[in-house]
Amino acid sequence: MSVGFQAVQWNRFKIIYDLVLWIGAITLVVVFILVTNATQSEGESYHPVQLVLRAFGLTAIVLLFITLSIGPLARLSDRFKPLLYNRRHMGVTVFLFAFLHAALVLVWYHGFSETNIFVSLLSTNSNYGQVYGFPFEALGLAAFLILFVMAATSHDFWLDFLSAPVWKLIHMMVYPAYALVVGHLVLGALQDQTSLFSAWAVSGAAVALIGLHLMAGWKEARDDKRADRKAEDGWLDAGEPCDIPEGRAVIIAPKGGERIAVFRDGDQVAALSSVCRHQNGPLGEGHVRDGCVVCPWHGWEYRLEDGRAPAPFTEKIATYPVRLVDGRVQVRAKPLPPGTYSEPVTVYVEDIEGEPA
Amino acid sequence: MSKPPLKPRISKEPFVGYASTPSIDRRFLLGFGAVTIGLTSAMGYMIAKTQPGGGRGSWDMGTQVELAGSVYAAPYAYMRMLVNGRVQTVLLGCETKCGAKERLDDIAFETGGAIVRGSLLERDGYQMLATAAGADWIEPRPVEAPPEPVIEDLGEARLTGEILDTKCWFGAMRPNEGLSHKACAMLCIASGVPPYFGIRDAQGRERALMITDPDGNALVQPILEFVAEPIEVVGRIIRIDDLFQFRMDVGSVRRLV
Ligand code: HEM
Ligand code: FES
Repeated sequence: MSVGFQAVQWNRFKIIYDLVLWIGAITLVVVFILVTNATQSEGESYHPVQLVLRAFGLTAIVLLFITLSIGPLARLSDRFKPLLYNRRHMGVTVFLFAFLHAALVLVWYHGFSETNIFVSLLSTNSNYGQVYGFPFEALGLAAFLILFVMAATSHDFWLDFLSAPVWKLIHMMVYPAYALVVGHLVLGALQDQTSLFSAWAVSGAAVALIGLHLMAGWKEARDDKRADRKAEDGWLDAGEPCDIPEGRAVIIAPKGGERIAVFRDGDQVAALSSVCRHQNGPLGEGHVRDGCVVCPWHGWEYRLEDGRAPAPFTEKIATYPVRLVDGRVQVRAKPLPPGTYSEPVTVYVEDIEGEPA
Repeated sequence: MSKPPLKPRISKEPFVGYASTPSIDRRFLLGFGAVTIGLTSAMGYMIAKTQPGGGRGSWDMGTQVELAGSVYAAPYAYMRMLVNGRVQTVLLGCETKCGAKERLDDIAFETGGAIVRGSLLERDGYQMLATAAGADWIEPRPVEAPPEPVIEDLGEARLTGEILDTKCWFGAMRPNEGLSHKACAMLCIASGVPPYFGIRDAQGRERALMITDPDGNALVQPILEFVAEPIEVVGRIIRIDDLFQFRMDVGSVRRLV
């Protein structure tokens, strides 16, 4: 939130998250190094520098793959949602391994000559017009630069400074970055393999990633369809009050409009934009605490009645007028300007089925 | 309207990052972490196991040796010496990505006896001396010289193979072939490391021939773009004792991929 950025807020969850992340990364590096050493025939061992630079490249792309899988997994099942939180640590770790990989490549393959290492990287192999023998390092470099910009702007300061849409755009570049790394492998390391295993692994991972995203997109479209309400005279039907769980929201998704979260807090119902000002988190999947909606991703809060973050914070989201017609909640399709007070409706129902008294 | 107020429905507490995760989710997530680590390790294991070997070269950097023989500055720096009555050719390189030809040119050395100091790179009998950095790397002096070279023209041949940079291939780097190594090999050759043509002989053994132009002179710039790619090329094979030269016709190079 924009007032007084805290450097990093540590807590048990984050510590365990990072611990598992690093144990996984280091295990991969160690397994790759030990197995390479153990399986090369006598006198054909890898040079330690080359062994390590490969291990780092491998770890970078594996972590990148996992980072990209978490998004659709969390959209498919709520149980994966906690992985989203703190995902940026994983992103920064990808960058670190890519950096170590690239630094070793630069020093080892492009150093030790009179040519400047960066000049050598970009111009020693200049067969840019050819597919086989293409300077695949350039693709790695492009991916690396994207990862660098993402890691450098990962702090909330940049989110605020650049505005959420720009920040989001920068971070969507992770997909082109992944594609570039796949190209980096297909035109580079994979060409030297005598076994097809690595090629299968790379293509299998790419197919899995696309599949996960398609499945998540399909589920979302289906949910949106269910949540789509036709506007009558500019008002959208949000169902009966008792269909809104206590402290939570139903999400309605008018065609062409932003998703709207219709929250119930006790007998009060109010509607807000479902898009968090932080990282566009799904506010409608959050819950109400002390009269504020709490974003499920990183815990930003907005008051139910006016969409304003409680002091000292200043973020505002759009609110929507609500009314009760024939026992059903209706929401006006047109939002009010962010931060505008809108009277919640007080709801009553006749029977509450299946509820403990 | 006098309706009773809505009673809350029981809802499962949603996840909020910093709130403690319910234990059932905690177990699920730890399980997910463990499975992921298991899968990535298994994949690392398979990738490591299936990758091709690093090549048999070696470079004993720590041991300085002194070799005595006839030193030549062309087409690339090399020396011939007698080992147990047989001629052994040793390329002269240096400690980084460069050749010793420039160093010989600096002291206006062309051909003659000398003692040369450095560390040895070796792969299957192919040798290179990485000449020591100091000024005393070479001492021109009469030495027990090998007999005059026996030159034999083995005729024209169409060979299939890959252009290698000798220093890496002899052992400075492992692995040292293929596209992963292309840029490095191009840089080495452009910087003065002698290029060889790597082939497999009829028995499937690796062999490497010194690349020259049709007149036996150094050949560098025109071949650079083909380095580390499978190619087919026509040339004349010349044998000089244990050294095979491949006098390449660059115009005949055909990429095989
Ligand atoms: C400046 C940026 C980069 C450069 C110059 C570069 C260069 C290279 C080179 C020369 C190789 C071949 C190494 C060898 O086989 O010995 C390689 C392999 C590889 N690179 Fe990169 N790279 C860069 C960025 C990246 C990035 C950002 C990633 C992933 C996120 C990556 C992942 C890999 C992988 C997985 C391999 C294959 C390793 C193996 O053979 O197991 N690289 N890279
Ligand atoms: S997206 Fe981060 S708190 Fe909402």
